[in-house]
Amino acid sequence: MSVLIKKGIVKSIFISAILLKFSTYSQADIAVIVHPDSPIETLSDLELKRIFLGRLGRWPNAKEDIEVIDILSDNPLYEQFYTEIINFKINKLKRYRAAFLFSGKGALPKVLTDQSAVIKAILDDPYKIGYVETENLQGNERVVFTWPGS
Amino acid sequence: MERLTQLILLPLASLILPASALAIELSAFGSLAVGRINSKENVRLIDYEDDWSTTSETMLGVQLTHRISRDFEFTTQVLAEGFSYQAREEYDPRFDWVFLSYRPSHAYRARIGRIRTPLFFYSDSLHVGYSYPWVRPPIDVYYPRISTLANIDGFDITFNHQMSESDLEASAFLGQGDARNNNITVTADIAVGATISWFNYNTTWRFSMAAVKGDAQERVLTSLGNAFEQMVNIFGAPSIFQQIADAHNLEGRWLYYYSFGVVHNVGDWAIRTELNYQDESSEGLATSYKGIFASVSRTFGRLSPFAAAGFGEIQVNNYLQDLIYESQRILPEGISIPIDSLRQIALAGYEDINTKGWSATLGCRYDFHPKIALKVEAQYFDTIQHPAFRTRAVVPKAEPSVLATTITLDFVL
Repeated sequence: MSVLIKKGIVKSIFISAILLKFSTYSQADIAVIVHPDSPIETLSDLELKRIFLGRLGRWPNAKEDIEVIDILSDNPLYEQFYTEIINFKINKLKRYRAAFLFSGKGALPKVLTDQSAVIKAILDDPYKIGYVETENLQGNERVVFTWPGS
Repeated sequence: MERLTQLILLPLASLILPASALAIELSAFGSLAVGRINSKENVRLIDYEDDWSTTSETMLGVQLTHRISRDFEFTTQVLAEGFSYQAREEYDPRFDWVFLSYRPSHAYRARIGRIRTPLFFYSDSLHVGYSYPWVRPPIDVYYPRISTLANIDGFDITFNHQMSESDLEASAFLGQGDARNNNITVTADIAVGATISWFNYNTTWRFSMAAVKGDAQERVLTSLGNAFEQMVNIFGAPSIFQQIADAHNLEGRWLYYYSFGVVHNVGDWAIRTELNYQDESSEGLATSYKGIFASVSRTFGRLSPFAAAGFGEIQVNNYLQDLIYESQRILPEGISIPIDSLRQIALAGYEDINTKGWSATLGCRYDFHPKIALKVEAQYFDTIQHPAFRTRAVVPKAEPSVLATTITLDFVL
């Protein structure tokens, strides 16, 4: 009897763990946005990778620097954006950015605390780019890339 | 040269900076390290001995980036290390980098000032422990004698070409520099080289080559050369001894460096490998060095255990031995006791330069904070003859292996 109870407990814990893993954060729809006056209409996922990893520092159709805006790394949106769209795991990203910054190759993205601050910063500057959840769009940003959540 | 760089570049940067448009970014990196090796003999790895040391690899770096205009940027990096091969005082700060960069477009960049000598895959972030998995880049390739010339004063030009799914970057540099560690002083009158790297987000390949013309003073070789010179002066010995004395002078030699490295990521796995080869011009006395390592790591959330294995070998050619044997034919043993003794010491000394050994490393990195990583590493050397041990010449050969244990907190701010 006790063996059966133990097996039942183990099974419950296992199922709970699986459920917990898949229920902690529902993946959001993501929009990559720029200023409405930006010369950029759309971006490919490869261009996004280059921009957010600092390998493309200037806008293709303009001669101004791209100013990348990040959200705080403890925000689930941050991890979703980099793992799903940029295809960089967070630990790899941290090591990559440390090497990038301290090898004098360029600056890291400016980090803002929440999505409304990201939108405000982008609407203030035609050369900034950032990402927010689609449901937080205000309507006056230009969306250059979208990513469906789950 | 160091003071010259500081004297010229710092005021120059200040003069051309419009005060209203200053965009200064200050960032920092560092390591808090504690470690030891288990050898009670007179063996040192970096600066570790058999007592726990908190200074050998503890360091702090501060980087200031000053955006002058859209195209110009000034960058300086100051580094304070608990131990350095330049034989500085503990935590004596030095300007590791001081350069102005000009980027007229995304494809081109030129830098002038004190820059890193790009000999290795991890040259650019050599001191930034946070940027790689191990406590230190594998010492089989990142051999202290080569790392001595970590910086040059000069310029480089980089070209970046973006292809459909990957980036190709090529750069060339020219400069000069000098550096010193305990046994060796390297003066590079000319350092020239090129680097090509290919990056496709999962894989990075990098090949670099450099040629350095200058002088290398190694304590043992210099002493032997001086001793033979004295023999010539005292005994008026045959000209073969002048030839031997002259052969110890490494001035004007060309040294060639080649390195090739790959980092490949597959899911949570990362494989890293790098090999390097160093060769001196073949006329007269010459040494060669080759090193290789392979490393694998796997990420489990915040934990990244890793393993690495490497091999390093330094070899000296037979030029001086052959001259000594030739001298024994001209002036046989038994005629002059001082000369006989010197020849025996010299032959033993040349043989002592030939060293080789392998290492194995196991460790784990724990990213417990977004900007701090804890690392624990154990590194085993099969023999104290491994070239990484710089005091090998005075070590009895009885001790077959050494275990280095290190714990670090690497951080970026």
